[in-house]
Parts: sequence; structure tokens; C-alpha cells
Amino acid sequence: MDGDASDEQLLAAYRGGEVRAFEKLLARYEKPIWSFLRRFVRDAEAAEDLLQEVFLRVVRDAQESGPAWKGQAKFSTWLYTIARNLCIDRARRSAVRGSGSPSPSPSMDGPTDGEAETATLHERIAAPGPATDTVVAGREAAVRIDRAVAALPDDQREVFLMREVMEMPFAEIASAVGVSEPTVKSRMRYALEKLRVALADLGDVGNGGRDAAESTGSG
Amino acid sequence: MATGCEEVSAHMMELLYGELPGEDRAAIEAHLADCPSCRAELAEFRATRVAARRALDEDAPPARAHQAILRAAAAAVAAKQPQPIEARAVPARRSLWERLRARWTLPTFATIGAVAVVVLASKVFLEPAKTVELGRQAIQPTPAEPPVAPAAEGTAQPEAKEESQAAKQRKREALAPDLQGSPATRSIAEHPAQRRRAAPADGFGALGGLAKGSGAGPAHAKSPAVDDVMAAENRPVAPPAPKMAKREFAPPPPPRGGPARDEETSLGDVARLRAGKGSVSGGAGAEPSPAHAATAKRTEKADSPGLPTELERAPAASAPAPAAAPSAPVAEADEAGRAEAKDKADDSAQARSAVKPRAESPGAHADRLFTEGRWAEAARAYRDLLRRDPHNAEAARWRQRLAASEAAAAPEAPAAASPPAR
Repeated sequence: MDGDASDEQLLAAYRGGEVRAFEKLLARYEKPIWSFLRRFVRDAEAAEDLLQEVFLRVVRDAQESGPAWKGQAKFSTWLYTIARNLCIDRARRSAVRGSGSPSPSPSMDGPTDGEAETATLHERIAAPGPATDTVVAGREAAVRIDRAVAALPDDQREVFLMREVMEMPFAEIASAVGVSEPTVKSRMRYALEKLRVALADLGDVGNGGRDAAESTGSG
Repeated sequence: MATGCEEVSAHMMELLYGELPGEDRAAIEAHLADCPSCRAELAEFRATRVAARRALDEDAPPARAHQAILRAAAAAVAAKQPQPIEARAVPARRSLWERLRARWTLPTFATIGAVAVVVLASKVFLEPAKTVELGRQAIQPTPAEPPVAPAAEGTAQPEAKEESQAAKQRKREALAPDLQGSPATRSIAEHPAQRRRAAPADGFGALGGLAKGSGAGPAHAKSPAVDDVMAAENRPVAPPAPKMAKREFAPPPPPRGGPARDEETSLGDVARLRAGKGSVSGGAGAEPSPAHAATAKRTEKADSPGLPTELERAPAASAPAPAAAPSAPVAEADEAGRAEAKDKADDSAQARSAVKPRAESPGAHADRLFTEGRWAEAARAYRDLLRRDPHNAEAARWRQRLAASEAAAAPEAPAAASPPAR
């Protein structure tokens, strides 16, 4: 099977016993799912377990005579739904046990909720340090971005990750999350605004907007 | 239609991610061209995206999870692959059997074996008295033994005679099947003396079976007694073997060169010749056949002037000694018979065919010693017999002979020259 095969074709081939097809599916979605999981649960070890669980569910579903995914939705949407549900289940279990792991909060479409989370975000990422180009280009920038993403409200982070990591259209995100498409766009806007504020001292974000606009204008 | 900054801001996400429809996109782009603030806002969003994607792209999934997922996927496919019926069914059945065998079969056999060993060991070692008693019963002549002289005790134990006859027949079949059809064999088998001799043979057969751990009957064909008989038949002249006298259960003597002198020589004569020189004459008095009496007289005349008289030796003839004659007296009988039986090959054949594998009983041993004039040994043998089995049917005779042997043993020189006085 060539590399242009659709997700559905690859999954059908794997159901027919072709393990290579599953490997291609894994290569396509392993990294975005991992990024989503790691930033959603904010625990690398738990994210690794969830990553295996997501794809093991795909494996089991592909081997069953009556698979849960029958091609009604896009494979990526179904895959994300699995990952998201696993994250929510884990967050609920953690909340029951009283752990500090945050649980997905209800939709926070208003700026008020975002401000509350922004305060937490500032506390987390407003670490003093040299704001030089070298640092921006280096590891420090990535760490700060990670922290900024982790500081997003769950519903905004969820939409942000789906959009940026999974590259899902807003309509699919709305379908997966179960909210309207305008709500998804609103959450996305709030998330980007918070990230912009959090990364304001970084050169690329602060004064490189024009360059970024040039490079991503068509995206 | 002019597009305001609010409308551009409302579509900022679609504009940022390229999801704006064509007609709306043209109007917004026209506004952006004329609105620096909206253009700056869009640029900031894009810059944020670039920075965020840079961090997100550096994220690599853990290799351990990757390998685990691939293994699980391959294993699931392998498990789902259709297998031949044999490949699916046989391993499951074998697995169950192997599990059963590993868990139960070996321990079961081991337990059974251990129990069997314990039972056998208890039978052998925990009941020695019973074992010894059985051995004694087999060794000692039973009261049911038929007497040598049928005129005196002829019908005492008819059942024992019949059994002895059957056992004797089996032995004959096993020993010399080629002689079964010969007239000589038939005549011997039909002779009453054979029946008289067969009963003690059976008694010793049982003893031999006890000693060997095997039963009586055809198994005697493989017994050492049979082997000795067969070997003895090839022996030219067996000299008297003193050491054989010490053998309590000596193999039967060779019939070759037997004492048969004429066609009337009976099986009983042969047996008595095997038992000793004097036993033939000693047994003659009890023989119902006149021919036997004549033969006995001749034998007595030729061999042993110092042996007891016929009346004195009559009890000895009733002992089972002839049937269980050891090799040593047989050798002597061979010597005596060789002098007499050279002229009659048929008689020799008769004697050979009549010879049956058997061992010498203690009673026969004592009688043989007595008839050989070995008084001291005979006295010891009789004493031993009486001590071991004082209530035997032969006990009275043993006592008489014991007394005679002791009397003869005291003055050895006179005893050697004359028969013991009773």
C-alpha cells in the first residue's frame, strides 16, 4: 500500500492482516496524539500509558467483527475522540482520588474564565530570565511554550491542541467536543490570545508578528 | 460592501487557519490591506502559532510505547490468522494431556510402585515365621506322600497319586518330548511304580518352586534339576561325589548307564538304583512284582553284602528317597547298573526316560546315608528329621533307623562289616 493511502484504507488493510498498514497509521498519528496527550494530562508517564491505550483500542477494534469505527467519521476524529475520552476519564479518576491533576473544566468561552486561568498561567510562566534571541531560539522558549499551553483552560487547550496538533478543522473539533463551531473558534481565539500574552517577551511573538503573518498567512 | 474591523476580528480564526470561504476572504483581505491594526492583530496571532508549533513539533513520542504498540498490533493479527484445524485443536488437547500427565500420572505411578514395594517388603520381612513355615512344609515329606509299597500303603492317597501323575506327565513332556511316543516311555508311564515315585517328586517340585519363587508344573522343565538331568545323561560315568551328599536338594541323577537289567526292570527299580545300591534290594520286599523281587535280589547279591535285610529295609523302601535320589547315589547306581545294563540298551533307555528331575528330600538323604552304611551321618540326618518333624508319618521308621545307625556308628569297624542290628 502506498504512502498516499487514506486512513480508512490503511485501517481496512490492517483489518485484513497487514501489519504494515497499521505502522503507517501509527506514523501519522502517534506524534500528534502524543503531543495532545502529554499536554492535556500534563504528565509524561500517564501520557505514555494513554498513548498505548489509544492505539491498543484501535488494534482491538480493528480485529473485532463489529468495529466501533465504521467509517462514518474521519479516522482522525475517531482517534482523537478516543484520546480525549481517555484523558477525561483519567482526570475524573484523579479528581475522585483528590489528586492535583486538573480535570477538564466546563466550557469557558468568556474572557472572565480565561482571566482566572491567565493568572495561573502568569504565575507559572512569568519566570524572570534573559530575553535574548539565543534563549528564544533555544530550549527555554520551548519550555515556556509548554508551560503556556499547559496553563490554558482545559477546554481552550483541548481546542488549541486539536487544531494545532491534530490539524482538525473547526467543524470536526466541534463535532468531537460536542459544542458549536463558533464556540470552538471562540475557545481557539482565547487560547491564542493567552499564549500571545504569555510569550510576549519572546522575540518572535513580540515583534515578529509580521514575519509570522507572512509565513502562516496561507495556513 | 465595506468590511469593518469587528467583522474581520470575528472571522480572525477562519482567516488564520485558512477556513474562510472565498467571497468572505476577498472582502476581509481588502479590509486588511487598508487597516493596519487588523493586520497587526492577525500578525500577532500568526506569530503565536509559529512559536507554539515550534515547541509542539519538537515533541517526539517515546520509543518504548511505540514498540509496545507495534508488538500488540502484530500479535493481534497473528492471533486472528486462521489456523489449520489440527494446529488449533491438537495443541489444546496435548496441552491438557501434558498437564494431566505432569500433574497426576507420574505421581500416581510412583505412588503405586511405592505401595507395591511396601506390601511386598511387609510380606517378606514382616512375616518371617510364616515364610519359614511354608518352606518347612514344602521341604518336609507330607503325610499325603504315597508310600513306595502300594501293597502296604498303596491307596492311602489316591488324589496325591493322580496329581503326581499329572505333574509327572507335564515334566516328561517338557523334558523329553521326543520320548513321548516311544513304547518304552508309555510302558514306564503306565507302570504303577512310576506313580509311586511321582508323588515325592511332586513334593520336591513344590519345594523347588518355593526355593525358586516359582510354581510347580511345567516350569520345572527349566529348573536346574532338569538341567542336571540333561547334563547327567551326557556324563559317561559319574563318580561318587561326596560333596553331593551335602546337597540337601541335589539334582536328579543321570539315567545313563542305569541299572536296568532286563525288560522287566521297572521304573521303581531304576529309581531305587539311583537312590543307592542297597535301596533296590531294600525296596524289593515291598514291590508287588516278582520281577522286582528278583531284580532286587540280584542287586543285593552283587553290591552290598552288609546292607540290611529285606524286612529291615522295607520301611526304607517306603520312604520317598528313590524319587528324590541325589546325584551321588545315582552315580553309584550308574556303576552298579553299568555292570548289569550293558546287555540291555532298551532298559537303559527305559531308565533314562524314567528319570525325572527332582531334588533329594531330607528323608531320602537320610535313607540314602543309611543304605550306604554311613551310620554317623545317617544318625545325624535322622535326628535332624525327627527334630524338625517329629510327627511325620515316617517318624517311627526314622526312629528305628536312627537307633540302628547309632548302634552301628558306635563300633565303626564292626558296623562296616555287618549291617546294623535293630
